[in-house]
Amino acid sequence: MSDYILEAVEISKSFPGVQALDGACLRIRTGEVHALLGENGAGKSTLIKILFGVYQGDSGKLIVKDREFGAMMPKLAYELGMAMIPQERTLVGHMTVGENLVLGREPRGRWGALDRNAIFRMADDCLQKYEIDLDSRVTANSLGAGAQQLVELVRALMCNARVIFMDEPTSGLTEGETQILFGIIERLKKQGVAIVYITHRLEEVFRLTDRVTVLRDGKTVANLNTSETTSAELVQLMAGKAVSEEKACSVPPGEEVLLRVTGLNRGSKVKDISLTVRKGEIVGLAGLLGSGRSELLKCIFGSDQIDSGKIEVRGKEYLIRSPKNAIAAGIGFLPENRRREGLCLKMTATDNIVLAIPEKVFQYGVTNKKRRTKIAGNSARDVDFSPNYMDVECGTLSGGNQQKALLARWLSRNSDVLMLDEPTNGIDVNTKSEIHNLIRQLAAKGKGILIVSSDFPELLGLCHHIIVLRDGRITMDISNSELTESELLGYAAGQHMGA
Amino acid sequence: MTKRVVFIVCLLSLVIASVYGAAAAPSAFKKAQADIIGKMGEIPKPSRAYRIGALEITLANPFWVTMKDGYVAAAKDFGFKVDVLAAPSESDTAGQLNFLETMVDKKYDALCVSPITPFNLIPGVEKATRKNVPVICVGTWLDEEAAKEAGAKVAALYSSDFEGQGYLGAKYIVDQLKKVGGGKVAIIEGLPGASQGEARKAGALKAFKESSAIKVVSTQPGNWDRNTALNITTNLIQAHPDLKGIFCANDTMALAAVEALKAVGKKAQVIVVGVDYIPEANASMKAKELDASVAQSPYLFGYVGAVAALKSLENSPLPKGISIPIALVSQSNLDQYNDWK
Amino acid sequence: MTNSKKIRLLRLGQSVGVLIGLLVLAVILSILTPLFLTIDNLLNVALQSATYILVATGMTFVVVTGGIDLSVGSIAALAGVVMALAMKAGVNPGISVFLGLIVGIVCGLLNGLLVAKANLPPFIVTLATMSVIRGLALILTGGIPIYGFPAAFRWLGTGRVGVIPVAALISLLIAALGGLIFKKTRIGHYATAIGDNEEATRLCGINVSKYKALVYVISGLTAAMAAVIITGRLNTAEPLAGYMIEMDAVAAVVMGGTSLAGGKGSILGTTLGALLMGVMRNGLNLMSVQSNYQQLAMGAIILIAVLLDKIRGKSRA
Repeated sequence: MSDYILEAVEISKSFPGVQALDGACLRIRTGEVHALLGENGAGKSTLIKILFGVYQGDSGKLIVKDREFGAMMPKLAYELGMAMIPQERTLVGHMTVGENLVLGREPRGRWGALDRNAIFRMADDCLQKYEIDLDSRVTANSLGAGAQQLVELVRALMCNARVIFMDEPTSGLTEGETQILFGIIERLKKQGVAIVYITHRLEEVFRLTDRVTVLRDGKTVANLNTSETTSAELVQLMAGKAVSEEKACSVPPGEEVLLRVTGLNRGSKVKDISLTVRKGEIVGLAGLLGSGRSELLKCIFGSDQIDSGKIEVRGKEYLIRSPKNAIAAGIGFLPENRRREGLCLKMTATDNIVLAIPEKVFQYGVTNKKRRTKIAGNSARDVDFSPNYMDVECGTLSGGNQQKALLARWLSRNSDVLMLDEPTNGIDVNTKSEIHNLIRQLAAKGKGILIVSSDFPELLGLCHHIIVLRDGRITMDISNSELTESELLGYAAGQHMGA
Repeated sequence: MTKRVVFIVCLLSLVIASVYGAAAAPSAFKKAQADIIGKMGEIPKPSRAYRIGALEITLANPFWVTMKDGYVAAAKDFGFKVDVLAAPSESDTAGQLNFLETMVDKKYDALCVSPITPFNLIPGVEKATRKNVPVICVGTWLDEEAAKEAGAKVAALYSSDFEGQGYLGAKYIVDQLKKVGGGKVAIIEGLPGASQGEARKAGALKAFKESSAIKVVSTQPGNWDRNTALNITTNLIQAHPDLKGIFCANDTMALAAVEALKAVGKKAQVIVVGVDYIPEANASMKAKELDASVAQSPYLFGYVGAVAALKSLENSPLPKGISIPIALVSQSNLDQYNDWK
Repeated sequence: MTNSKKIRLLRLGQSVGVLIGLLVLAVILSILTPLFLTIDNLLNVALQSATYILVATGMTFVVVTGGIDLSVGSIAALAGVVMALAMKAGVNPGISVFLGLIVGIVCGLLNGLLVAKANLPPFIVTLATMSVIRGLALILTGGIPIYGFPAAFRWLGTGRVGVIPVAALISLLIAALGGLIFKKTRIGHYATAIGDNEEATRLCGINVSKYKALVYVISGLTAAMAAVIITGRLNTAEPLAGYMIEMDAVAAVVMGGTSLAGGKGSILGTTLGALLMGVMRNGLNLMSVQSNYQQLAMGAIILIAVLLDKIRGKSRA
């Protein structure tokens, strides 16, 4: 009986035009927390899909619990004790926690009807077993993101999962929820459950995991003990080249105030917000989940209606009731969810880029491809977006390229103020750095940038000064000269209030 | 020896039985068929292999299926080929026109058509006229004025007296209700604008008006559709709980009306009469449910139509003013009409 | 071949698929029956496809926004009835046609406002207006068709320019115009963008309501145009005209490669899809296939076309 509970050996897979996996290997020991790292496009999700039987590999074999398989079926994977907790939630919102936990395996009473008491009993037993403090009778919708994820985890455990794959588990979680999750993972380790931890957050790799596998270009380039490697080494393995440490923004901002917001109010989400963004300045909005940052940006952009407040761009006041007004005023907005709110995924990059500038694209009501390509091409070049991808459907682009296309959109619009909501969410380290540089360049060119981010190192590396939001209000507004990450975290969590 | 005896006995009984069977009930159909063929005059032999096209209204209704049998039988009896087609649905006027235009292109020697409305096939018939293809109207007809104006020529029309059908059917109800001093009646029409439907309704109204004891409380279009008639009847009996008779412009609707009345237990109270005498109507009358149906002979429509087409191709004179026979079949004279088609 | 050229060919592939299907079908039919490939018959096909091409062109705009318009048949009926009543009252045919088109626009506007402003699902809205508008047509006529129109009007439905039916010319002209508008103007681009991602489009400052409503106006207008041809050809305005034509229109749109989920569309594809269905119907008629089997065959063709399209789409991804 081997040490390994799951092994993927020499897996290869190709799709028309691209070799997704080339002899990739992954070996998971019983009861270990194993990090799976790799840039976007390195082959992680293809490998996982093959492990779960969603795709069939071209060659290679899978060994689960000492049994060999040439190919896998999803049902079989489930029966063998494999479970997957994806990045997006998959609970049934209006059902209770208990019902979600037993979904598909509901205990039946007499005559085949559902036995509701048994459902909650089973659920409570399991929640207790893993020491999770949740009420099985509340609806899934009423829970926060972190709690919902715990429910999914428990559901997997109730199915006797022995290997659990978790994809970006801490994205969207508060600090408190993250700690709870880590605690549970430790406990599961002790019970012999293996966790495959897929993430871009290297600090979590070092906090939690025992071993690391790095994929690059479809191949396994490293399989190391976490204690024997460093952050820099991992980054180099993923990227294939050394990545320089990011330096904080050094070009000072100008005098002219591009954006001035005064006394903005919207219900309970945005309370009396006032801020300014100068020419060439990068202002960060920090805060925990639910602090109202995205809501603030949406108010300034006119996507949500404000109850009261004043918005001025370049000294002129604008009545902003819709995105059209904001865009005309010179504001551009990159939403948090670029797939759901930012891009038209079936359209080409060119058409997406010119979507916000009808005046330049349509002459006498008519447009042609040449004109669109020319206009889009100019902005694309400014953000280093490869011309090869201009005619590709945006849905197939990597996250980094998608974000670049969105930036290009507002560049072709020549917006003075750019509001970015979590611009590097779900983007690999290399491209993240590229985008950071782009942001700096844009600031240097004289744009004013307002950036919302949950990534404190990112804020500290980019911004001239940082505004902290909590429960819809501004609690701190500090210049980023000597701020440390833990201090920032503290402000966001509500400590040092009034300092 | 015994085997031979048994054999002869069986044979004899068979002969006696058939003679008896034949003599038992006179066949109204055979009489009608012989009658009308006589009226058609001399039927020439085809001088070459003719292909005749027939366009009916639909083949989803047993009436029209029997008509197809008539076309096919005539073709067999007199030595030519016939293709029988129908429109996609009973109300698809444009579809029927498309069919006709395609049929003209298929170069049939002659065409027999049964238009859904008096106007929808006029452009197609005009095309046939231009290409010198003789057209016979069977059952339903083209509007004379409009056809003349468009240059659409029809060699002959063979139909039944539709108004007479309505009159005959409604008169049965009037006569039956005389015994109980009259009462309320209703009419369920066909497709508005369709020629036979409008004519039957007119005939029925005429019959009903002749008796002062009869009151027509409602006439509504059933569109030849079973479901529509079912719902209409349900509503009728609700609104007029003392309804005594319903005349339906065809059997499919009449049978639906019977079902609707059975569902509320009022079949015994209401006399239901249909038109077409389809096999289902026969079964319903045998089961003492449907009261009567006005029979026309779809078989003879087709038979006569095909014969007329042959005659027109051979330049044999086409008799005018011939009406395909109709008859009232009720529960009492059912056995004379067992082989009617 | 450069990447972008390859990609451009792939996108053309949408319409090419239908074109190939159409050609293959034509070849098969010419083998099965010698009557298919005659000038007379081909012109017949063009004529018989005219109304479907018109309605499907307008429908493409609606479907590309992720919506659907089930009321086009009823709109055609009402437009036809209004035109007929006007001509019967002595109004000049040209103005009567204009009135009919106005009916199409007004009905479309009704649909558009309900979908865009009241935010009701297009399926439900047009299902309801389908009955309401058809009811109006029945009421105005008392259920009885109106017959007999001036020659100038009938020419639109039955006339020929040389040997080519006027109706076919009109339909192809409108399809071509529709295609240009779809590819080159705001309504085409924005309708597609809205179908692709409505929220993203809104966040680009585009007036989403306006364009969502406008596509239904276009659909109503093309339905009214189809009414001109139907009424002219039959020389009758029937309240039951155009019954179920919306189904054929949607089928043509889907066969032409436009996705019912919205965000991708092609007028050329739609036109080819409508022609393919016209050729299929004509072929079945020529082969004397009974109506009931024709229904089966038409449905099967559509299923196969959609399945093939799905497979093609998957292998592209």
